[in-house]
Amino acid sequence: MQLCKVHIEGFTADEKEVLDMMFFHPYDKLEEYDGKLIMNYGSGEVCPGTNDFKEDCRNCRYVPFVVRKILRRQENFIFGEKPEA
Amino acid sequence: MVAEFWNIPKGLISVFYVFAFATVIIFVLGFWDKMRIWSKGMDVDHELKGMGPAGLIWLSIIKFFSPDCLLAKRLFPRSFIRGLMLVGIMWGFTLLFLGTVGRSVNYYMFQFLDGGVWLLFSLLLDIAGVVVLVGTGFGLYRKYIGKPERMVKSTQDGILLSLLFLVIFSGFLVEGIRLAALNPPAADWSPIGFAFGGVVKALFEAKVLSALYIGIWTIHFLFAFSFIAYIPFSKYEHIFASQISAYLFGNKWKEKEIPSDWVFTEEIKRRRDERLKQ
Amino acid sequence: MTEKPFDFMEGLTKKELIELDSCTRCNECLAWCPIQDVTDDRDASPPARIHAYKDFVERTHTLKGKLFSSGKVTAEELKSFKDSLWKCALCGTCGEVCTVGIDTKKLWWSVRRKLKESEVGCPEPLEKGPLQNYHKFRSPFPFPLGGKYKIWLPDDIELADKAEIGYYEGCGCTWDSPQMAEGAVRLLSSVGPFTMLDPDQSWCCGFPQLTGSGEWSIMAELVNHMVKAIADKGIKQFVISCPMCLDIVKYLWPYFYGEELPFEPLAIVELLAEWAEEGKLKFTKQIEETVTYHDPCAMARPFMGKPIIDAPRELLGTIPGIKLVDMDRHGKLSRCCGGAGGMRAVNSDVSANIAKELFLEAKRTGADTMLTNCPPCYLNLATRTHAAPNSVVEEWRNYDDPLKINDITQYLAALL
Repeated sequence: MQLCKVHIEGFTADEKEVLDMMFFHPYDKLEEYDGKLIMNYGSGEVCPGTNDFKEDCRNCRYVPFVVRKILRRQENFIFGEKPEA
Repeated sequence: MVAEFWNIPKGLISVFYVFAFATVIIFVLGFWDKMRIWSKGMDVDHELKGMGPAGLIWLSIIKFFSPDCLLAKRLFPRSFIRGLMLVGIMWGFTLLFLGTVGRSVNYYMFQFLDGGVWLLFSLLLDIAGVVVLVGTGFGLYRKYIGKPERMVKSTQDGILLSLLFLVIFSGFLVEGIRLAALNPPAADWSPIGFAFGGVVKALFEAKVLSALYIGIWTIHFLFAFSFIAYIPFSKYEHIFASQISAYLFGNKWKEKEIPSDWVFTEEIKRRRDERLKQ
Repeated sequence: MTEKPFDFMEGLTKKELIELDSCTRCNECLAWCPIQDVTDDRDASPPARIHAYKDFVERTHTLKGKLFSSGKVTAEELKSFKDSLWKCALCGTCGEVCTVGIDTKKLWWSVRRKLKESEVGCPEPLEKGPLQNYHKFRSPFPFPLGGKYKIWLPDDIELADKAEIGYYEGCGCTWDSPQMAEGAVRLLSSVGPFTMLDPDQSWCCGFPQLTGSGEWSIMAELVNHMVKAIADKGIKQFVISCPMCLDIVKYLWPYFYGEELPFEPLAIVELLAEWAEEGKLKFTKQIEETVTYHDPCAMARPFMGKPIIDAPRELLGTIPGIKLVDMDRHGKLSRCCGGAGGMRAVNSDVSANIAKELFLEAKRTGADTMLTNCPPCYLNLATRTHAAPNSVVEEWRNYDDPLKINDITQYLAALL
């Protein structure tokens, strides 16, 4: 089990629709800032970056496939809370 | 020697018969009402298909004498001691019931309880009585002293258990006093009653005993009758119901072609039948 | 004109009416009930519920009720009965341990259906959520079905247009535990071609409406649609990830369909166990781990079907390096995860606390990973109870736990 708070960017409108469909439970609502999204998956614990299968976010099985697909295109990873403005 | 209505005034015997008659009426009414309710349920279970009140009573009796029920097969794996107590009460009570039927046959129809048969009969019923007494005693202990950590509170349960306990206890007292007074030659074939007799004899004078006997005899039959009349209106209804549930649960996972023991509203059934017609 | 009083008996089966009279209040079930593990609410216990409903029936139908009671059930009584009835995850442990064999799991279901028909209805979160969603989207979740595979279906998995093996994840997998569905399709595609229904044709199986809200009127249309869609795809073996769907599809659909289904529904673990036995399922990666398996109630104590207890264990047994240790309570007596029966929506804190008890029991085995194979179990355990209030989630986070939680198909897909 690995709970994550990864920032997602560069998604298409179609993908955004799927993401909204995916994260609708009260405790994993997506947070939006500057056109990016923060995933609050599960209770929102911050993941150290690799899961217990030693997989990084691009390959993390705990992350729904649609998120992995976006992450694979994405260059930077940011974890954790929204950066201070 | 069978001693029916020993030392009981004629008037009281008439009262006894009135109460007995009323008890039977109440029991039959309540019981029949219950069976009527059962048979009004939706007729979808394979095992109960088409059964009316009489069929259900019959099934209940057959399943009562199945090993699953008589050996409390579902209770033993949960608790050995409780299984033992339940089997005790169940067997003891069945024996006492059959014993009473036997005595009635002996008294009203033809005499067969003589000599050796009577002695064995007395011994068996004494043992049955003491087993029920211990079983209900354990039940009361568990309910009021041992108390399982989690329990649904219910006054009715306490009343029912106490009533059953008191029926048997007063029964032994009555038997004891009679044995003490008559001192029949083979009294030790009713060891428990005899022991009760020994205790009362030591405590009271003979004159008091006679009056006491009538009092306790009255209490005994009142308790016994209220118990019987209460069965169809209380949770003791499980005497007739539980063996059927246990039997049906045992059948639950046997693969069936179409699971029919589901509940369907008329609307669903209608739409389903329409589809089948197409 | 007086309104016809609500009939508490109409539609209950003979068996259920007998069961109401069978309870001896021996209190055995209370020792096993997950609700009783985490609350002191004795009114939300099987004997109390049976007693209450039996009383409703007696009051309105029997001689005793007509002579000695008002013959009516008040709205307050119904309301408090409803609270008790929905404070239950329908795990069925009470029926399994019942000393007189009351099939409680089905009884609660039927009684829920009755209450749904009555003036008090089902709890609001279930009425407003899953039920309304179903009428709008044909799934208990508030989204159109068309996009559902996009959540979890990997791009590299090829679906056959028609195939003998058809996969159905169940909406719980898609929206609650998409990882389960992804693992399953990876395993299936590693062996041979398979197909899935078109997403907008892949409706709900009916389970959440039936058990959660007690709504039965939707079934005929649903089953007819689904059976046709499945047959159109040429599916012979209909492989299902969600055990609750399986129970409904395998044992309830035929009734509504009116005849034998033209395909064989089976659990994904059953098919995988069979394949593993035949050597069709090949893993390339090695693993050295101690795992424990949590039997979901829908598999260990299904409403209708046969328990599926051995298949997942046989499957795990074929993989060298995996050591299986069982929890004290496993198989037919496995603990409840607290996730089903509408509990997460109606009593989320109770649901989370029940999940915690299961988690602690799994920890006691000393296993590295707890595996399971059911969307609510996975959701309630692995993601630590989405819907739980902060106070409970807070406590979860403070556990120092080396125990990982995973779905069996996702776990095995990692070894491909």
